[in-house]
Amino acid sequence: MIGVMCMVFVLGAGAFDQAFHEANAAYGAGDYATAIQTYEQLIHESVIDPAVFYNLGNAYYRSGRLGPAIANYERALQLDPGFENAQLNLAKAVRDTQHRLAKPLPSEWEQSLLFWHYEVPLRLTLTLAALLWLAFWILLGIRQWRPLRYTGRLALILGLLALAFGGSAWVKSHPAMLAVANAEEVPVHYGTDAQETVRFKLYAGDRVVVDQRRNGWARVTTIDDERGWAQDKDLTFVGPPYERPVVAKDL
Amino acid sequence: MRAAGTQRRADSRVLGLCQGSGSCGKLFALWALAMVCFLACRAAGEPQVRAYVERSTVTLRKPFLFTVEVTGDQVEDLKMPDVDGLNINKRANSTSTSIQTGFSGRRSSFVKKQELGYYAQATRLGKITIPPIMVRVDGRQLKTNPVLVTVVEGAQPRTPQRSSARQAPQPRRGDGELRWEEVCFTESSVDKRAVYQGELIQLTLSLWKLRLRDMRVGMFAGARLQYPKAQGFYVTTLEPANVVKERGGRSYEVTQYRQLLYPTTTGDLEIGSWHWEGGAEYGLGFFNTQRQNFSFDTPPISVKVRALPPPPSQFSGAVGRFSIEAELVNNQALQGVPAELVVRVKGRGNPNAIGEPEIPKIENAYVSDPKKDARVVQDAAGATIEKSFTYMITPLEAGDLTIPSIAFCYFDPSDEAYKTEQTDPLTVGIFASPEAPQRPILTAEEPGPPGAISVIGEDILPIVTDTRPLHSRRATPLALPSVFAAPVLGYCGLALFMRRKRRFAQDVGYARDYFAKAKGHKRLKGVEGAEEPSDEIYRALVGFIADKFNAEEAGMTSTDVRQLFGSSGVPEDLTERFTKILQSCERARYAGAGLAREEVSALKEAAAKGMDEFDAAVNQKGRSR
Repeated sequence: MIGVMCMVFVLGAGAFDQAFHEANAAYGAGDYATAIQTYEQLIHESVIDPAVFYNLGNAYYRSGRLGPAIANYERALQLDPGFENAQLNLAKAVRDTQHRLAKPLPSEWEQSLLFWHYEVPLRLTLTLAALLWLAFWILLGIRQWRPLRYTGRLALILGLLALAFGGSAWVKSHPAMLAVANAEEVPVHYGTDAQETVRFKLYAGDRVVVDQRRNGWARVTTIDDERGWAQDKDLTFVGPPYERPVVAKDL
Repeated sequence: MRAAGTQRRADSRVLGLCQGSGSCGKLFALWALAMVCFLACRAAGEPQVRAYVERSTVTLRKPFLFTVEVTGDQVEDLKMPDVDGLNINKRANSTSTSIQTGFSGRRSSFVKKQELGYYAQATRLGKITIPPIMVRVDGRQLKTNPVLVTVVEGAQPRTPQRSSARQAPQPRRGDGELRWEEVCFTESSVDKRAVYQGELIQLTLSLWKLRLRDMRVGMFAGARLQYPKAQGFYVTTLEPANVVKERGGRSYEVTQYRQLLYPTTTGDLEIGSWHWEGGAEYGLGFFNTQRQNFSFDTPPISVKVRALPPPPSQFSGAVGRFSIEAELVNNQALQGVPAELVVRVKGRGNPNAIGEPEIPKIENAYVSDPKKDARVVQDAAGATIEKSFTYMITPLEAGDLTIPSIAFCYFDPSDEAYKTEQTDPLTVGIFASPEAPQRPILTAEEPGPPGAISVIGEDILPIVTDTRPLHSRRATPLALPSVFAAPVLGYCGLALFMRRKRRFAQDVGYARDYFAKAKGHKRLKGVEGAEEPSDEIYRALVGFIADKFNAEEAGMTSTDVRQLFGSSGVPEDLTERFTKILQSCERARYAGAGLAREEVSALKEAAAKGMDEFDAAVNQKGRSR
């Protein structure tokens, strides 16, 4: 394990594939703890790939940790919304939770304006936005060189499309902070004190939106609009940034 | 008013006598204006009375308002006459007073106007005349005008006798006074104050609105209803319902705003205050409306929530009273083709707390996870919920398939006990499918019996082992902005270039000036190999100067250059140097003897230096300008 880590540090990019295969081998051998550590280390090294998150989700699922498993499937789907295996495994993991609580919905304005962007991966959205932006300025440049018919209108259309895809990319890269309950039971309090009255409870795998974090506490809202404060250590934050769940550190 | 009118006619006559005299006319006009103002103020200050009814046509035995309007301070001895067919009751408490300011001489005067309202009720049909009423105002005995009222049967269209915003009376009924507090009020209630955790509590805000003709109560612009804060409860808000109720002999329309609350925790909880803001309007028309604003806050309600007793293992989480039923959509099905089983839980309780019923293991069938649907049906007693669970049951073998009894365990707070409801067993006939052996639904770890359909999908899908090369994507904060900024910068560069190009094409002087120095130096470079170096230096310098001043190069002499420099304010030493170089070149050309190599180099160097200095001087001058 340490050897793999050293290799990653020394050899760089090529070693990431090696570490990935090592983790996969550990998973195949049923050594889920090693697999989790190696995948987590890859993520720590900023290897942001849906396959890594998906495999890590599987490793957590096999370890019986539903919360981090769901969080990692969510991360994989955030990067690649069309990742079918991640969708199916996420559905399966959610079915295994006690409440089967649905994922909180995006804001209404986002659902109305950006209804089309949920199936498009961030990378594709960003690439399209950049290409359309480039094409828009090239057309404006052509207009400077030699005014041709319809270049103005075409530039306007391309500019609007670039703005739409740019906006979509911005929203995708700044999603509402999603968190998943780690522990079997996560008490949600009225305030940021463990002595405060428990308002309701989350169960392992329940997904919530976090709108505020303060002194090791996160203010969470469920899809039913139930709101309260839960301790950070009981949650896995989907990110970005991709924080390591507390349970993984214990391994 | 009649006195004032007579006086005005007299004034007109006086004005008529003075026509034709200029200054005299102006003086009279000013005097007349002052007199008119004085008399008008006096007239306004004089006590006056008049009487009117809110409508000239009234309904038999229906109350209407009769008003005596008094302009003056002290009102005494106002006695209502006995009128045949008309009962005039005690005075209304809606006496309204208005103060008018007028101007009399040097002092302001205040005129008080009072409207004294009386309830009247006609007891016979036909026309009734209310005779003049005697009243003493500020020590003067005055009488009102007679008022004619037409009495008709039943509802009749009303004809306002006059239109005045000051006429708005208090809302009243014929049988007595009516206060605004009786027009609109709220009540808040809960059906229980001690409940079990998860037990339904119905919270109701009743908004009582008096039903009266010409009365409108509601939430007008800016008004609002604020539901109470109920921390520790799961809340469902129902649609408001309207009912008509009687109270104190009056009829009210009661709007009931209802919420269903389910405590999610135990202990002493509090349901906060309702807040309602609205208004009531009472009146006859657009200009004759009286309005009252209301703002109500109900007191908070405390509720004691007890924990549930230790639950049995099959407890579904539901608290309330429920029934369960199961139904198969088809009684017959084909092997391998899913059949729909719908399990419905009905009752009163929190739909979110109803967990899915546990389906007993069914031999030779695959049961999918259920599709859930919840429906809330409002009724007079609150709301009934119906939660349905739809299972897809895929028969794996032909024959009779029996779905055993399905149990649903819930806590009944009224009996304070856990209860279990059960469905009847269901049987469905399954026909063999010829395709069945070739139709694996999913893979199987163990092969099933021949002809059986195998099931997969109970486990997660495997990990991904084949992926594209992995790379570290460390945050590069400038990369993305650079990608988006590069085309903008490129466009700006192109735009500047095109602008310069267009200027060169349109402005010859600018182009010559811009390129003069480069062109001059280029010419000087070719001096060494020329047949007549002095001639070449001369042409390079003259060409440079002609380009700089956008002048004709041909025929330009050192004298022309001196004049040109002098008129353009070029420094004297620079002018002198240029002239000397040019004259040296001219001498060499006309003398016919060639210059020595050293002389040519010195001239060339001096010419190059002169060009640079001249260019710098011109640029500096341009900048300082």
